[in-house]
Amino acid sequence: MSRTSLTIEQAGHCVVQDLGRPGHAGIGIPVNGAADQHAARTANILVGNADDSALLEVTGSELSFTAGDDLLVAVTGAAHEVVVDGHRQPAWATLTVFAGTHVRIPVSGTGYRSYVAVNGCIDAARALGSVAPDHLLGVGRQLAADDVVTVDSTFSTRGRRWWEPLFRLEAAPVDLAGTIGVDATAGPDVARIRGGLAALDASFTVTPQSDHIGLRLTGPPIERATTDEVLSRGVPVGAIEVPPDGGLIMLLRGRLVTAGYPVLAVVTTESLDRLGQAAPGTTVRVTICDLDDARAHLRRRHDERRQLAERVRAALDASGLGHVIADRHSSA
Amino acid sequence: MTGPTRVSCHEYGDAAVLVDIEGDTYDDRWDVARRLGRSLPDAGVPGLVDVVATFQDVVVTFDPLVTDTDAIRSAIVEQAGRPGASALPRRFHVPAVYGGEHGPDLADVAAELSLTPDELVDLHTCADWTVRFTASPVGAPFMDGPDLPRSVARMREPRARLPAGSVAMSGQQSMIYPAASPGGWRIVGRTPSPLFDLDHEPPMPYAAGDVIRFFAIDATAWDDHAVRPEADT
Repeated sequence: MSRTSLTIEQAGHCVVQDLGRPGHAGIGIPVNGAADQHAARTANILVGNADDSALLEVTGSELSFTAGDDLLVAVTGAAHEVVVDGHRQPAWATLTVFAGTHVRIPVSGTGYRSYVAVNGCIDAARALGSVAPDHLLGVGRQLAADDVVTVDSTFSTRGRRWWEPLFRLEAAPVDLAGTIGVDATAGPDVARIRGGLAALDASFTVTPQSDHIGLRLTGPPIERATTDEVLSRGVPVGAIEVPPDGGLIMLLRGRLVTAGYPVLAVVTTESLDRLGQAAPGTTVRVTICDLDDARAHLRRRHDERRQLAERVRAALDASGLGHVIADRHSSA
Repeated sequence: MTGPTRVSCHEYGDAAVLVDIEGDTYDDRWDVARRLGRSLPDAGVPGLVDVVATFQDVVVTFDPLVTDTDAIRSAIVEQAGRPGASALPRRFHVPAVYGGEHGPDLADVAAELSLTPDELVDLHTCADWTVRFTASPVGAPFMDGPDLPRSVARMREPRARLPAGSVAMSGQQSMIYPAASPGGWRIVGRTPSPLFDLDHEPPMPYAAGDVIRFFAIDATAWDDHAVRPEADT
């Protein structure tokens, strides 16, 4: 391990993030963490980290930094490319960045959140085991210009320089262009909504009142079939709620753990990653699926990441430049 | 309660189930919810992530790559059938400044209930409030208390930021916002007592089933009461 660093030039809206803090909803603490878990896990895997390592999450803005040391970096999510000292490099791939190099991650025009992983452990304060920002807990690190992010890394170039990649490690990019399509399964309150699930068969637009807690969407009016209220009860991430003033709410990982609106459907765990990429103004369409399909899709994506992790391990071992820091790849 | 507890589990997305509890009374159903909320997280169920017990329902979240709805359902039914060790409720005395800048909705809520502000303070402080469950934000106690003449309406537009300690009412319930947060409940007062502290395990002094009794203090005595509540001995 050696201590390395990067110095932020332009931060935009960038936080130190991880997969969140599951297991505390019983005391009212939401899971939080990366809105696009697949992109965050993949970025970490590409640089040889455990997939739940801390990394940077950039939302709707450009990030640039200068490498203080040689770094192994991967950018995933909304970004289409990474500009390294003026040269365009691919996103969703492992990149070697030499000390003193300037790295810029431009806004891509599709998607909303990009993830920047660096081989090693990013130094950040944890609460209940996670660095994920939570305003109510008063935790989280938002980056600003001139901030220095320190990383304990196993990666070393041993002072050498090279101009061709030593290995080609890539993951399949997720296409976020156009309408964001998500799968959902039927919720417990279908009978409370006029038209039931058919009410979701339309285009909905993400409004600016959306954040990491949930998306507010507008679309054709959705009416309740009953006027009685739902008593406050637990609500899962992904719940599609029908508030009384029309429109829809789709809950993301920062959601409060209880709610009292009828839940018409629940976005699948696999589709939540796409939902986390829906910027204000984006059109969202919901397709109802069954639970078996939802879980099969999730399993397939999980298996793809496991195979990628094996390839990265083999490449890093063969190169002698570093090793996989942990092979603990948590599930879901 | 007599007879076996009947619960039914409904799918609630691919990673959660909603537990419907059958029981003759509100208290019976809540008692089962509370017992599940306490026992299920410690039952060693593989893949179980979270248990959120509320007034009448329980939502159990799980990792769909580790387990499935059937296995979680079995674990819930088994735990629900076990007789609960019912601990005696603990009692906490929580100070609150009512009205004024600390309770901006006191007069309006009182008027809605056809009471004077002083009568509402008396009603709020002269009865036990039972913590039905704790939830967001950060361990907030959701409580049932004295019968109110009618239900308290929520804010038409939620407030963007309520100060920590805000004592709130909605419907027939009361709650306290332990941390500064947005909120749509009506604010009748504010407590100087810190209720949530990650340096404590658990972070809140109270749990579902405990009783909170409010007492009115003067705003000038704020600092004297800014201590974490302790249960009566």
